[in-house]
This record gives sequence, C-alpha cells and structure tokens, in this order.
Amino acid sequence: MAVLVVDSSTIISCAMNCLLWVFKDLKERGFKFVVPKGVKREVIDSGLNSKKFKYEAIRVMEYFNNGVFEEHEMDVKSEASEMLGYANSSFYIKHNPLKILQQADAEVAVLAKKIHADAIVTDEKTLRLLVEAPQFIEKMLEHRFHENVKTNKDALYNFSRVFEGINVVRSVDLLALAYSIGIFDKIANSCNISEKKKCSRDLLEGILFSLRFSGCAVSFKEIEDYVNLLA
Amino acid sequence: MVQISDAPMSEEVCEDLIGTLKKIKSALELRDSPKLKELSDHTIHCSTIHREKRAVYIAMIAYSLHKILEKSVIYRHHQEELNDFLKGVDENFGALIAFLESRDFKKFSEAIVSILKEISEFDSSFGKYVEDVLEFAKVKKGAKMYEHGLSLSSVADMLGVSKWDLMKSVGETKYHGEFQSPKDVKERFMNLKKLLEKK
Repeated sequence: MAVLVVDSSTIISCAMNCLLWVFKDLKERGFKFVVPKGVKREVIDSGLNSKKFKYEAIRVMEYFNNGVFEEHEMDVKSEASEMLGYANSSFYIKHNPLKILQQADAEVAVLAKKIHADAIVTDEKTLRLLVEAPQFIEKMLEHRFHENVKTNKDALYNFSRVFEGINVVRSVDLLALAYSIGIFDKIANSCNISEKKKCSRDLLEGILFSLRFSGCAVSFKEIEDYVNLLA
Repeated sequence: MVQISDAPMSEEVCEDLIGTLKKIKSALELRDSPKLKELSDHTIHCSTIHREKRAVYIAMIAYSLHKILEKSVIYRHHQEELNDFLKGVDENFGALIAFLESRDFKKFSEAIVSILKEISEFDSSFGKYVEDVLEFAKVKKGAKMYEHGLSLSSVADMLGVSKWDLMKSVGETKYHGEFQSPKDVKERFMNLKKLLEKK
C-alpha cells in the first residue's frame, strides 16, 4: 500500500469541487492518505470559522471520521521547526530572508520523510518546488520581485537533501489517475451514452479545470497534455 | 476592531512607504483607479520582503479605493457621499504621511485603523456586495503574496485570512501558467501509477 501525506491545499481544492469521494475509491484501490495534525486543524478550523466554507469544512470532517483521511499522531513539531529554519533562510532579497514556508507546510514534508511515505500531495507551488526543484525558486522570485535574489546554498542544501527523492503529487495528478483507472466511468457512461468518448474527454477536462480554478498549481498546457494523454 | 502594531519600522521600510503613500494620495486626488491598483501591488513587494503587516494594510487600502473608484457607477445616486468619503480619506492620508515622516508609529497605526474604518463604513452603507470590500482586498493581496513565493499557509497566518478564500482567489489568477513545471505530466502520471501498483 502506497502512503501519501496530504496537505491542506489538496483537501480544500477537492472539497470545493465535491471530489472528496474519489479519495475513498482510491483508498480502496491501495492508497493510504495520511494528514498531519496541524494540517487537519488548518483545514477544519478555518473552514468552520467562515460562513462561506463552513459546509465544506463539515464535509471534510466526514472524511476524517470515516477513515479515508487518517490523522497522524506523530509529533513532528521540532523537526519541522528545524526544516522551516532552513527553508526560510534560503533566499534573501536586499539582505532580508524571505519567510516562504510556515509550520504546517514543513510538518507535511517532515512527516512524509519520517514515516517513509511514498509521496506528498500538495496543490501549492512553493512547497512542491522546494522539494522537487529548489533551483527553480531563485529564478521565480527574481521574476516576481524584479530584484536580485541571493540564495544561501547551505541552508537550501540542508533542506533539500532531507527531502530528495520524495514524490510530489497534485490533486490534478491524483484525479487524472482516478479517471484512467475507471473511477469516473459511471458518470462518463451516464452523461452521453451514444458519444461516450467525447463525454469522457469533457469530463476529464472539466475535472482538471475545476481544480485549476480552485487553486491547484497546474498550467492550462499541462491540463491539455493530460487530456491528450488519457482521453 | 483591527489591532495594528505600533512597533518601530526600519528606515528602509519607512522611506519606501512614505514614497508610496505620497503616490497613493496623488492617485486618489486624480481619482486614478488603475494607478491605485499598481501602487497596491508595489506595496505588496515591500510587505513580502520585510514581512511588514502595516504595509499590507496600506496595500489593502489602496486596492479597496481602486475598487470603489472603479465601480463608482454603483454610487451614482450617492455622489455627494462619495465625494465626502474621498475627501475624508485624502485628509487622513495627509496625516498618515506626516505621522510616518515624524516616525510617530503609534499615531501612524491609529490613522491606518481610522482609514480602514472609514472604508468599511462607506462600503457597508453604499456598497452592493455582501462581502466587505476590505475583506475582498485582503484575499486579493494575499493571493498576490502567494505569487511572490510565500506559501498559502504563510500568507494565511500573516493576514489572518482563510486558506479556503486564498485558494479560490489564487485559482482566478494566471500565475500558475507562468513557469514551466520541472516534470511533464506523463512522467508525473507514470510515477503515480507505479505507486498505485505497489502492494
């Protein structure tokens, strides 16, 4: 069974599109979804405190109660703080360190490492790039700030060496996989029986675009590539 | 009631903010809505680099004023009130600049609170949307900070805004299409498929 540590961003984008049920099906097919304590708090508490997202937060709670998302009890605060220190002293603009990550982000990465998880699931760009391609970040920051960015290579190395090799997955990747293994077949078959193929393509495109518009870090080109690859 | 720190700011931040506040005041006098938006984005650079929350509030104020001017047709039956409101904000901006120039951080913070209150009261009296213009501005500016490389949790923590709101706002921007991903989708898909096949 592959273990995936899930960040709040993925839970939120899927909850906003009524796609949490897919996690249940994926669990039955062999994925285990683990969520750090801090992340669960971040999703539920902020949702419950908002008139706009209260209902979504309650629906997320249901997926913790039915065991689809498993809250992990391991306390990773001190290791997460250490990693946070490295990440937040890796990039400087005008001698000021950029505090790019927060405790909950670091907890996701540290928990994944400690329990030897197979992947981190996050829809955010910052954490993904830090784990997957930290060398991209300097260029990205220079582009955004129009300023010279200085990288503290030691700090960045101390962060990235710990997480080297961990897979990073987004909601769009998970949902594309779910589509490819037939989890959406029932919907595809019922929406247009005579033109199933066309409907399937629209279905996949619709799912991926809805996640994109809910904040998942995916480009339109990547969505097009997924649709051409799978539908 | 918003609580704003009155701790001293670095000289660099003070000078940058004074320059921006003067430009915001001129843009407001000219009712130059696009300029206000541009200045609000500039202020986000400053607040992200220095993690200066007061700069975020200035960015929110500039953005809210931009939205109010942009939608001024909404207030066509309340032109007098709109003029009075803008005049009051302009005067408060003068005070804001003077307090920061004299490094009176306590009065500077109080003046920010006063402008926020003015905007909120005007919007709740004459605005047409359920969502407060300042809350809207906060989420928009939060999304901008995410574009500047901060994680959403980091932004949510700094602004006291929900990550749910931020995700929705980020999804409306073009930001995620700006950079090429380090891996193509085929590679990502195959990696994930392999994980599913792992028993």
